[in-house]
Amino acid sequence: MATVIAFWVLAILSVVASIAMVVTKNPVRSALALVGTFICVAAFYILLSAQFIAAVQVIVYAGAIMVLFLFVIMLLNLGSPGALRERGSLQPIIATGLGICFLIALLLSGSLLSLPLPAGVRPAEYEPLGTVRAIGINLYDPNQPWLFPFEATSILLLVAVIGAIIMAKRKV
Amino acid sequence: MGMSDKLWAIQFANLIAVLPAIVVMVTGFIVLLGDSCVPTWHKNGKALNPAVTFVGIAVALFFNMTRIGKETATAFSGAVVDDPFSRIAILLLGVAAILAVLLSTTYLENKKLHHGEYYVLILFSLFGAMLMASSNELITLFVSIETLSVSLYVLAGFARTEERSEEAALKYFLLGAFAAGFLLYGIALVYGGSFGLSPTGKATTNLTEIGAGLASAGLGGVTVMFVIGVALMFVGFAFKAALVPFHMWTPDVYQGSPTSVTAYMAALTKIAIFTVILRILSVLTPISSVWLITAQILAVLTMFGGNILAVTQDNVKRMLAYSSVAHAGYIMAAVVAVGVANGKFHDLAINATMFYLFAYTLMTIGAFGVLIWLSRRGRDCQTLGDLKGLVKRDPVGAYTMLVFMLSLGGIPPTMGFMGKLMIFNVLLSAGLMPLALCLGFASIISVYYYLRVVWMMCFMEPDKETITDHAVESSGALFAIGVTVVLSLFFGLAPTIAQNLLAPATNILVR
Repeated sequence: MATVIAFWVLAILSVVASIAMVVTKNPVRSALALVGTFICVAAFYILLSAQFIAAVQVIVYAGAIMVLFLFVIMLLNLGSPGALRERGSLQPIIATGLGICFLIALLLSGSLLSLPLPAGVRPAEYEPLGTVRAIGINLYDPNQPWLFPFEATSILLLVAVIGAIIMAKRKV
Repeated sequence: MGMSDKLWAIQFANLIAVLPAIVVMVTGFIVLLGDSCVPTWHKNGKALNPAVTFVGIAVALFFNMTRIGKETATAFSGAVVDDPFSRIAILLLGVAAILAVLLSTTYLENKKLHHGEYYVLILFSLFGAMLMASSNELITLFVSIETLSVSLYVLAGFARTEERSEEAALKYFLLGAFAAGFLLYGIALVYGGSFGLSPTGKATTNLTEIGAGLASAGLGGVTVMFVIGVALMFVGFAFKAALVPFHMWTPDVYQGSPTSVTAYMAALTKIAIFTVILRILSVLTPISSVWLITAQILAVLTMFGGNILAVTQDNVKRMLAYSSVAHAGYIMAAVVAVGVANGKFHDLAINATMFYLFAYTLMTIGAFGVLIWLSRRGRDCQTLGDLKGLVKRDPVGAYTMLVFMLSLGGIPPTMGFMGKLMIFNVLLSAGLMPLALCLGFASIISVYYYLRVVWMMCFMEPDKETITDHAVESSGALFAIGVTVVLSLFFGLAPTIAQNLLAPATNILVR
């Protein structure tokens, strides 16, 4: 019962926050509304027993990426919000139409793509993969295939770091 | 005690299965750390990096060759597989990398780009490519593809002061990131769609489990989601392999990158991505009716698109970029035959593909190698004008270029001709007559622009300003060009030796 109440409260909050993000004229307020949406989504993940993704959502999206957004908005010095308004653009109408199409597609996708969700079983109980403990065990268990790609990712990140230094430094 | 001993034994066996890649990775670390230890003023300090790189790759290839006849083994709970197919692919990748290292040294010194990081990135991209060849699981595959790609994005922009190089890196990076998104989305959908397929009844990203599921369930057990996932994954692969219509980045990136990078990238990416495509299409053979027509259309579009666009190019690097697109089309045609008649022509198709990949590696690296050989301090040899009257100025460069152009055009007695003949043979025996005809017509178009290069070299007078000095000559580049010329001609005359060498590749773990 408590989860149902929590779900509906979060649902209303997240929808309001995302509408506010699209509607507000001030880009900084818009970005802050997006933070609200991200935090609501993180709370949804907790309701689904996916604590790890919830934490990552807050740290990476609501934290790092939004700070980047705000930095860019402030650095660009966009001027008064009124100057940014587009007039006579078809974009909002097309976007609304496509959004509705996407909503219908999402609602129908369960039957169209025969998504394999067994009825009456919540995903978190069905396979408790989302907890931090389960993710840790899966990543490091030699009997699971994830140890190797996890370790290989470190090389990928190292290459990215080397690349960033080469491209950014004036003199290597 | 016994428990931990057993764990050690398992991990040891796991590491042995990916030993060549591990050796390459460790060499990468050695070069990365060693480069900062060697004093920059020391006259041989800079020569140490390519030497260490060369030795590292050679050691990796040695370990790879010692196990060539051994049984197939999977490691890390099925994440990677060590089968004869992957060993042959690793052999080709290593050869491409060694040739590229030989071509690089003097060229980079001339361009003042001789930094240790270049070799580090070469080694890490080779590491990624080797893992691509042995991935048996989609997450591992994605990580290895990205390791290769990110290294190549940086290498493409390695000449940071040149605008074209920067443009190449940015273009490659942005489009590549987009393609990676497609690939990852496809993997997610395949994972979801594999729910009913695997014998354990769980969703899986393991290719052998998906293959077993497809073999038992057949076409009836496949959901729409699975098919969409496969399609999205192939958008990602087609981008990396530069198949039309996902080839737009190729000319700009090949032209803008330093020529030594272009040579390396052209060969390495093609080998790595086509081994992945071969493995996945072998897994998907039970549902070949879903993808067979699409794959054929892709192959035909790629051959004609690449060749027709190459005809008008005056820049040789750009022309070779379009020609590499066309060659991807020929290879794709051979790959398609894997799925015909429920895998009846599987072995023939893999033999032809591996042979052609080998031939393509030698002739592409050779052709770019001649351009590198002709490049002098401060001036890249790029355009057809630069090649005018070459036969008088630099007979070595001219005659080797002639061999590579004949080989790329598929004219006997070169390896390119034998490769095309093998693909032709596969297509005819698999009953893909239209595809074989397209291959023939596309090759005829290609002969025009390859022979145009020969015409420029042999029958045109050199422009006054193209006369270049021979002050800086690279023995490494000359050696690499020599090896590729000799092998292209030798395997063109005695193809059975190469065929026997590559024959184990037909033993591929699918299910």
